[in-house]
Parts: sequence; structure tokens; C-alpha cells
Amino acid sequence: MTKYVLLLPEALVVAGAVFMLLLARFAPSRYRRWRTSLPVLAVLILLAALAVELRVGADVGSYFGGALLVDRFGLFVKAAVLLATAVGIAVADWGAEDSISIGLAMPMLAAFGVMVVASGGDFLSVWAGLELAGAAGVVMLATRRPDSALRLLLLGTAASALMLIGLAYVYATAGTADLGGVHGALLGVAPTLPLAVPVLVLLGALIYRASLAPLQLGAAHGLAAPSPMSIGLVTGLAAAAAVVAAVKVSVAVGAVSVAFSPYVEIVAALAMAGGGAGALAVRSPRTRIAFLAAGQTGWVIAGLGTQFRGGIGATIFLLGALVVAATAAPAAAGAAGISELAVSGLGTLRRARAAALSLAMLSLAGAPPLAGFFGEFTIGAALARSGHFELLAVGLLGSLLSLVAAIGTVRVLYLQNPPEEGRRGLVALPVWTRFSALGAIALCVVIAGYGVFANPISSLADQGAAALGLR
Amino acid sequence: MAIAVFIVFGLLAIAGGVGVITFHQPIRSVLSLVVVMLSLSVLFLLLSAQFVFVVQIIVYAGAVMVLFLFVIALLGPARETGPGRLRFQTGLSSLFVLAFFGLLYAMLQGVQYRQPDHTDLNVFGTVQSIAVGLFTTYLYPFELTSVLLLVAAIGAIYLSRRDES
Repeated sequence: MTKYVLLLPEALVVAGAVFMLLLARFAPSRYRRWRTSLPVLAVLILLAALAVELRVGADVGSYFGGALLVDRFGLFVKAAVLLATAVGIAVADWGAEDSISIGLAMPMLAAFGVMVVASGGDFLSVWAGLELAGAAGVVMLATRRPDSALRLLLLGTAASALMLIGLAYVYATAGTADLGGVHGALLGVAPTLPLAVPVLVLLGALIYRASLAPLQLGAAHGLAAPSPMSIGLVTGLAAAAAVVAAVKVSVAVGAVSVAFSPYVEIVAALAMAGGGAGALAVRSPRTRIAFLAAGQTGWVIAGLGTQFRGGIGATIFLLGALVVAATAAPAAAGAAGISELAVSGLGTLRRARAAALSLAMLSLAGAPPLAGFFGEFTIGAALARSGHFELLAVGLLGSLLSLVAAIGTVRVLYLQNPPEEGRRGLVALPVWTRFSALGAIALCVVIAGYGVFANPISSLADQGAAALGLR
Repeated sequence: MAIAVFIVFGLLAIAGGVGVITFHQPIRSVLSLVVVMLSLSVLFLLLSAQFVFVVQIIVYAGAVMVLFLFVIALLGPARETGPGRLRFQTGLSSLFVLAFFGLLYAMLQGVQYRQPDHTDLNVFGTVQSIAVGLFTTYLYPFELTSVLLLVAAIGAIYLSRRDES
């Protein structure tokens, strides 16, 4: 099989995104005629890419001189991100989006960015993929809120600058930008503080991108809040790109993990406890989803500190659950997600959508027996195995807070009566379509199925950790 | 000789950087940035990166900075007005600068530099070696950059769009 066939899933996703952009620009009449069918087409393209990925990604190899790696880690992450994007697009309320072409193209390009990070074998690929996912998030936000987009752009630029400083020092120390080469070169290097500091700056920048950017997207804008799909992209896909990069880089510099692990644990503890507390402190479902995602990202970061196969395997498993729930949950809430009042009684008015939103939020909170629970459970077991009981205690506290917050929203969805249309304000309920109902059901199936089939999926995640060179 | 050139152009680059943030006239800030770019190009030449040296001058100091100048000239080179500073900004900035330089010094003291493997210094930094790298090992991220630029262009259009409402 040639290396170009291996790039077919990526090519499909990029071609699909470019087609959406070109259609809107150069064939506006056809675009208007087909606009209701375009989300279906995008989902079909993503599912086709997923099918091809599952077929060709099962082979293992290294191409372009090591710049492109085909391994179980890449297969797992790419499958998760393609599924998350497809489900997110399917469940979205397209009446609440400003532009269908941008709203379809940018998530697809962000997914492509995560795929590049997942299969990148050197710093350059990891950086380029990360920037692509981040830039797609900025574009999506800019369609409605240029001020939010500018803020995200500046924050992302600051994170990139820190990341590049860290990469430069690691490159100077290792003498190579190849992730495998860095891993080998650092094996003989003493884990001193001067080396730990740039590594920490590098990982800190990635963690910052992963867990803090979603917190910029509150409901403070009221009715002019960013569109649901843009929130899903930034909270899910762009954050996933940073987490995947953090996993790859942390394993590459794992030889000096003794020096930076304590600081990573502090950041993880802050994210887990802060995410849970933040979720409890806010009422808006959309902001609550962002905090829940930040809290679960804290669990993923905690897993990075373990640096053994079981721990990183659990991290990869939870990453899959996180990206699906964090990408699709804001889309499932639709424009109504900006306030608790607007989603009151959604369980009786939009049953499939309410079920999908509930399951996604409960999974982000780590409720059993959903995907998030199994991921947090396996990371907790890895933390206990490596003696990080304090971190485990903080994580459990964060999960408890998250759970209370998620149940609060579920209670509003199912136990409160729908308000009169006049009281709902100007926020409309998500429009019911057969396709979006199907998308909501698909989201329920994916989240529940991830928990039901936790064992084989966890086994594949473990193979992903082994592919990174861990024992 | 190389050390002297490095010190002169290193200091010039720092002075240019200081100029970018201290001048109130945008035109002067842009011209300071040109000084930074030109100084950096000389530093690249010292590292035997001839191609990057030329590209730095033609693309950055030439095309990009001239574009900046045109844009500023078109929009009107208004002088920055008002203090534009937060309370405690000077003190806090000084503290961060000190911390950053302390960190930088500590890192530079502790890093054991390693020569890249398989480096042929006869072809390092030449057009040929960069082209070979771009179209073999780095082909995938290189092609990805075109998608990144497409997204950046769309983002720039949306960010610069005026609110018609």
C-alpha cells in the first residue's frame, strides 16, 4: 500500500471542507438550493473518511522520513475525532449558525488539524496541526463575535510563543526535532531544573490551550453569544489538538518526567477542581459544558504525569470520550444553551436532543456507566498505582462537583416545565429535523456504546500507548 | 569576527524590538521592525543559513514590511493617543521581564547543546538542502501549511469585516 493511500482520509476531509467553501463562493444559487443537504453530505464525507481510516490505518509504518506515523495511537485519535465531528455536525441546529459553509468547513479543517497532530512524527507536524485547529476555531468565532475571536487569537498566539520557546530548548538539547529521536536523545540526559523549565513551558502552553481557552466562551454575550458549533469546535476539537500534542510531547520528553511531573500534577489538580467548581458556580448550560470539559481535561493531564503504558493508555481512552462529548454537547444544546430558562423542559419538547445533551454532560462529569466514567476510573487506577493519592483525591472532588452541576442541568431539562414562549425570551428552541434527531440519537449511541464497549476500546487505547514507545 | 558581528546585530535587533513597542507613531514602529528583520537576517547568515538570510530580506524586510507601510499609510498614520496603560503596568512588566531574563539565564546555563545528527555542513542552509527537506521529509506539514494559510485568510476577512448593523 503506498503512502498516498494512507493520506486518503485526510484528503477526503480537506476536499470536503474546500468544496463547502468554494460552493458558497462560486455557485451561490446551487449553495442556496443544496444548503439543507450540505450537513448530510459533510457527515457522509466524514464517515467515509472514518471507514477508510479504519481500513488503512490498521497498518503500521513510518513515511516521509518519519514525519508521518501510521500507528494505533493515530488510528485511535483519528477515529475519535472523525466520529466526534460527524456527530457534532449531525446534531447541530443549523438554524442557529451564521454560515453553513463556514460552519461545516471549519470543523472539518479542525478535525484535519487534530489528525495531523495525531500522525505527526516531528515538532513541525505537531505545531502545524495544532495551529490549524486553533485557527479554525478563531474563524468560527469570528463569524459572529470578532471580539471573542480576537481574544482567542491573542491567547492562542501567546500559547504558541511559549510552546515555540519550549520546543527550541528541547531541540537544542536533543539535537533533533523528531519525536522518536527526542525520546532517545533525552534518555541519557540528567533531569535538571534548567531542562525541566522549558519542558514545563512547552507542556504548560499546550495545557493552557487545552483547558483555559474554553473558559473564554461564557454566556456573557447574551443573545449575541458565539454560535453553538463554534463553541463545540473550540471546546472540543481545538482543545483535543492541544491534548493530543501534549500526550505526544510528554511521552517524547518522558525521560525527564521526574523533573516536570510535580508541576503538571499541580496544573491537573487546578483544572480538575477548578472545572468542577466552575461548573457548579454557573447556570448557563453552555458555560457549564465548557467548565465540565476543562475539568475532564484535568483528568487527561493527570494521566500524562503517570508516564507508563497503563496510565497513558487510560489518558488516550478518556481523550476519545472527551472529544466526542465536548464537541457535540454545545451543538446539541443549540442556541438555547445560553441560559437555563431557555432549555427548561427540553426533555418534553425535543426528546432526542435533550437525551443527547444529558448523556454528553454526564459523560463529561464522569457519571457511571458512561464513557467519561470509565476513562476517569482507569486514570484514577493508574494514579493510585503510581502513588498519586493526593491527586486522585482532588480529582474525585472535582468529579463530584461536576456531577452535581451536570445533574442540575439534567433536572432543568426533564423536571421543569417548558416556559411560555414569551418568557423564553428571544432564544428559539432548536429546530426539529429528521437529520438532527438522527444525529442526537447517534450521539446517545456513541456515548453509551463507548461505555458499554469500554474494554475493547480501552485495549485499543492501550495499543496506542504502546505505539508511542511506552511499556 | 563572527562574535563581534553577532553582538552588533544582536544588540541592533533588541534595539529595534524596543523601538517597535516604545514609538507612538506606527510608521516608526514599522521601520523599527524592519531593523529587527534585517538584523535577524544577518544572524541567520552567521548560522550558515544562506537561503533563510535571503528569504528574510526579500519576504519579511521587503514584501511584508512594505505591505505594512502601505496599509498604515492608507489608513492614516495616526499617533497613539492617551496613556493606554493599566495601573501597575510598569511595575508588573518590569517584574515579568526580570523573571523572564532570570529564567532565560538559568536555562542557558543548564542546556547541553547537541549537534544535529547527519548534518553535512557543506550543504547545510543551501537552497538545495532546504528544497530536499521540504519535498521529502517535511512534505506533509509543508502542504498542510497551504490549508493553514487558507484558514488564516478567511479568518482575516471575517475579523476585518465591519459590523453593518
